[in-house]
Amino acid sequence: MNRRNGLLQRRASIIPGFGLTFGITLFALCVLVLVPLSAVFVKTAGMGWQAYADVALSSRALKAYKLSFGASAIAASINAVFGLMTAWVLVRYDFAGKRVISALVDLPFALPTAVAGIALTALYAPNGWLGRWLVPHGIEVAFHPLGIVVALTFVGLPFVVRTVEPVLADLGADVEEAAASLGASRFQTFRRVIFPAIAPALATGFALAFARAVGEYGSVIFIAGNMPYKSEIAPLLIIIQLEQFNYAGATAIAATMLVASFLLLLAINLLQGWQRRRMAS
Amino acid sequence: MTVTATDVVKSFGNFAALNGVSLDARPGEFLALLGPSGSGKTTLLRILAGLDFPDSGRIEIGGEDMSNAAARDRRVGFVFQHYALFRHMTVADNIGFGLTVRPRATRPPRREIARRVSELLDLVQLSHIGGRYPSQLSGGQRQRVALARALAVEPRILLLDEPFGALDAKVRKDLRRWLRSVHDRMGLTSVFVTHDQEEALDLADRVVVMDHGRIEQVDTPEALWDRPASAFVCDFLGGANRIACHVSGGSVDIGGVRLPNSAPACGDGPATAFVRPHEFALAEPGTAGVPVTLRRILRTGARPALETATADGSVLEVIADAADHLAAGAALTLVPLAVRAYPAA
Repeated sequence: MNRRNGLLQRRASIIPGFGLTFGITLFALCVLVLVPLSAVFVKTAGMGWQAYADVALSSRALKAYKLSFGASAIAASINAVFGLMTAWVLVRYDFAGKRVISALVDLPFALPTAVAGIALTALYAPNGWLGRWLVPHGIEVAFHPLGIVVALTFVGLPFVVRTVEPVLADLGADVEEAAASLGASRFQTFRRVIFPAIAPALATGFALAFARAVGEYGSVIFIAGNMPYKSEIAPLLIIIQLEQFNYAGATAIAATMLVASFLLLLAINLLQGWQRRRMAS
Repeated sequence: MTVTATDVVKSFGNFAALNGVSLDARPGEFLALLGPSGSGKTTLLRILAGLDFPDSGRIEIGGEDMSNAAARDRRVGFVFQHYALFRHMTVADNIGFGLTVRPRATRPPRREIARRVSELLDLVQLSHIGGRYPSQLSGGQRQRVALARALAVEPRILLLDEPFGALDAKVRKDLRRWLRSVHDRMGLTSVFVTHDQEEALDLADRVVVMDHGRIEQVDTPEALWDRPASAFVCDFLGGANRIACHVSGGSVDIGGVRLPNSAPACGDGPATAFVRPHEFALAEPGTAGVPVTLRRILRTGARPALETATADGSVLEVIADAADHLAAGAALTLVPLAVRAYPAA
């Protein structure tokens, strides 16, 4: 295996246009991602440490971060489990209406998230179809942190399904059959053969669903109830600052979230890279 | 270990893959299932392995009814056409897999597994690459790893699904002779599927020729070659030229040449004759036989092959002793020396 040593190593290659495409990539990345994001940091840096801490590290903000990242992690975990199952069903079995199910999976991508939020709220509100049965049993979803998890799970599902699906399809049924004929039980086959093969894709799907959930706003605000210290997510806090024309305060919270998200995603990426090297394929 | 299949029927939707197939493999035998794609040979093998289940019929392994037993309970080694190795495991871990998934009570200790794996690595001549991953191996090496993995669990029978199908010609030939020697040394009972008649005849003790979910003939390679039971078998074994002929009183008439029929009884009337390329003599135009025009002379083996065409354009291939005196375009007569005639389809 040849591994590239330098980032910009020049080498005669059969694939042309490295310089051109790399230049365009960098330019686009700068204009679309880097410049807006650095504006956030510049704005934040201008406000001074004390002002920053007052807004971004207030106990209310800390509670909101905790809720945002915690609910996102739970939602992404739920998606990892059910998304894996959905991908499994779509890849391994043929059944009537498969295309419809497959299209349904993508729906959370296309739906305006506010619509999802309103629909979920109507469903889980104390007088809604599901809420009517759940609330008397003490399970309150709408206007509680649990509702946030439900909404975030909804918007994150396609990420896991769509990242795991091709890898699972590529794995082929014959490896499973080989494991079975070698005496492995269904569980051993899954744990020792299937799971290690799809784990990197599953981690990617998890990371994407998690990232999406951290940034989600539209669907959550309808179902969360938005009570400070209780069911208020960090993006909402940013909006509140904006509505008070405290732009510096808004960017302070945004910058804090950005750094936290970046560190988490970087950690997941490094973990994947480590695992891929271990598999050496 | 004896393997018996009795009246096995299997269909996929409207497609009948197996129409009542019965078969037995004797202990120590190397059996080939030979047929074109869609003949049901792979389905039969998968049913023997427990990877598919018959709609009706019975499977016995070593006298035990295994018709509904799961694959993991059959103690059958299975080798797949595309190797089906575990990509995230090293070669050694692949081979040891079958031992490490055993229930705790029957699982050998770790050191015993390592010893067994290194023995198998020796057997498949890959001791030096036990630590590599499958993606770093060639096709032939991968298939040897797959074989070692199947042998690690000490299977009662070994089933191979087109094991050499994805390999190039040279590797194929080496590997199949080697496989035969492993089979003999370990005293296995093996069944393998192939669509390559040369491979089947070269390797197997007996060959099962299949077509459209039925068994056409089960015989030793010699008997199969000398006495094909049907036009299909004769055609599938390869190389034979088809010529229209007339059968009367047990003898065959091709272009005025009368010969005894080497095939099992064929009724009087029009029939299809099969003549192998080396079963012709060349004669001057005008003699009794099949008049043809020489199209090309091919040098693919020790003796030249002549591609000839009859007046109606059908191509006949002939192996000649010498072709130096001939040139493309020459008119010839082919005199058949031996012939198998079957009722015209």
